[in-house]
Amino acid sequence: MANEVIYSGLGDLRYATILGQEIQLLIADRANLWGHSAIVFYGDAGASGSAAFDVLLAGLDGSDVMAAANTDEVTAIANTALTDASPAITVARQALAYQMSDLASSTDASGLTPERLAASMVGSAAMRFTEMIAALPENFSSQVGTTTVDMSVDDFFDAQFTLTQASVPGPYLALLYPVQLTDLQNSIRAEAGALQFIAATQELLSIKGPGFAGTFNGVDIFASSKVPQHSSTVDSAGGMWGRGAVGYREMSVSLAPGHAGLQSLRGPVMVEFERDAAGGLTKIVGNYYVGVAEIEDSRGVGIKTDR
Amino acid sequence: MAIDFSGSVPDRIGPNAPVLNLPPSPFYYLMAHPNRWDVIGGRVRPDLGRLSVSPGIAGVTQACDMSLAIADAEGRRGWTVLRRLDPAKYIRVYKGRRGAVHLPAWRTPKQIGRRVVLKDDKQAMYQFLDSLVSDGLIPPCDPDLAEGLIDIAASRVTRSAGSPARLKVAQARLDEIKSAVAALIAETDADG
Repeated sequence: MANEVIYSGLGDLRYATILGQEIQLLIADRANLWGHSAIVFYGDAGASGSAAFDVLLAGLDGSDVMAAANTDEVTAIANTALTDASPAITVARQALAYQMSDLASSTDASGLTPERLAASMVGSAAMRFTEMIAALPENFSSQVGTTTVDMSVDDFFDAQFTLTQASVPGPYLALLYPVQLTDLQNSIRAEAGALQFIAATQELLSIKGPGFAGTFNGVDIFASSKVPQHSSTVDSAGGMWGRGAVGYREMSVSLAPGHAGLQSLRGPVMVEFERDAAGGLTKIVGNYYVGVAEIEDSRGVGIKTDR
Repeated sequence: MAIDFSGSVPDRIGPNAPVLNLPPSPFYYLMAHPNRWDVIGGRVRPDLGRLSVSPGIAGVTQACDMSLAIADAEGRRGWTVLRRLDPAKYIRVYKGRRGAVHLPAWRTPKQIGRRVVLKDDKQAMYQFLDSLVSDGLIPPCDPDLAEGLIDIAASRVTRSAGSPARLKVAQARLDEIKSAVAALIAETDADG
C-alpha cells in the first residue's frame, strides 16, 4: 500500500498543538478569612481624616470589681484607675498590576483577557488580607505547642484551655498551617475514649482542601498556606483566638467623577485599566487599602509546632 | 600610586537567572517578651516575636514609619523591639520570583526544580538566641517564670494518662524541661 493520508504527512494542514478552550486554575491556596466572625471589622477609613485609627478599649461593665468598703462605714473610698488602651490600625495600600499587549488580548480564545485579570484581583486582595491576618498570631504573648514536635490534639486543647482560662468569649478561630492540620488529624485519629465518639471528630478526619476545615470542640479550624514560619524556631506560627483579638479596617477610595477605566469589584478593592496607546498595552491595576492589628493580646494564643 | 581593584561576581541576568521560588516576605525586627521563653534545643531560650516592616500590619504606615508600631508593641503589649540588633546577625535577603525574600540567617534555601527546601542550622540558631542574653540585649529568663514551664508540661502528662503513646511524649518533654530549668537555676545561682 502507498499514499495513505496520515497525520505525520499533514504537517502543513494540522496545528502542532491547539489551546484548550477553557482556562483551568493553577493550584493555589484561595481560601480567605474575609468576613469570619472572630475577626472584627472596624469600618471604612474613607473620609475619616486619617489612615490611622485607634480602637478604644476600656475596662467597663465588670472589668473593675467593687470591694467591701471600710468597716467604719464612712471612710471615703479611693478612686480606681480606669484600665484603658487604644491599639492602632493603620490602613495602607496593597497592590498588584498586570500589563497585557493588544496582540496578546485580541488573539485570546480562552478567556485570558484584561477583564479576566481584573476579576482575578478580588482573589488576590482576599489572599493578601489572609496573609496579613496570619502574620499576627506569632506575636501573641501566650504560646502553646512544642518546638519541632508535630501538632497534637493536646496542643489544640492547650490553646483552647488557655483561652477559656483567660475568660475569652467566642467564637473561636484556629488558624493552622496545612501541615499542622494534618498532624492534628493524625493525632485525633489515634484518640481513644470519649473524643472518638464526637461527630466532629469523625468530620475532621475527612478530606479537606484549604480553608475551612471544620469545627472541633466548638472551634472553627481554618488551614492556610499563608501561616508563616516562626521567626526564631523551625516551626509554624499558627494560632487560636476569640473575637476581639484581631481586627481590621479598610478604605474605599473616592476618585473624581467621570474617572475612566475604573472598575470597583468589592468596595475597598479598586481595579483600574490604564491604557498605553503608544505601546499597544493595557495595564490592569488592583488596589486594596487595608490595615490589620492585634487588638487585645489576652484573647489569643499562638500555636507553635513543627512545620 | 597604584590601586588594586577587586571585582565582585555579577548576578546572572536574563530569563534563566536563578530566582528563589518563594513568595516575597518583608524585612523584620525581632522582638523579645519577658513572658515568652521556651525550652528550645534543651535549654531555656527566648521565644522571639517578629515586627514586620510591612505597611498595614500592626500599625506600620504606608511610608514604613515604624514609630506607631513600635510604640504599640513596647508600650501596650510589653515587647522589646531589638532595634540595636545588627541585621547581619539574624536576617538574609534573597532574590525571589516575585520580590525580595527575607529569611533568618540560619535558614538556607535550596531549590530543587521548582521546589524549595529550607534547611535550618539549629546550632547557629541556638547560638544566636543565647547571644541575645550573653550580649545583654535581653535580660535572662526569670527562674520563677521558667518553673511555670514545668507546671504546663506536668499538667499535660496528667492529661495524657489515658494514652500510653501521648504519655511517653509528654513525659519526655517534662523531663527535658525539668533538666533545662535546673540548669537555668544553677546558672542564675552561680551568677549570684
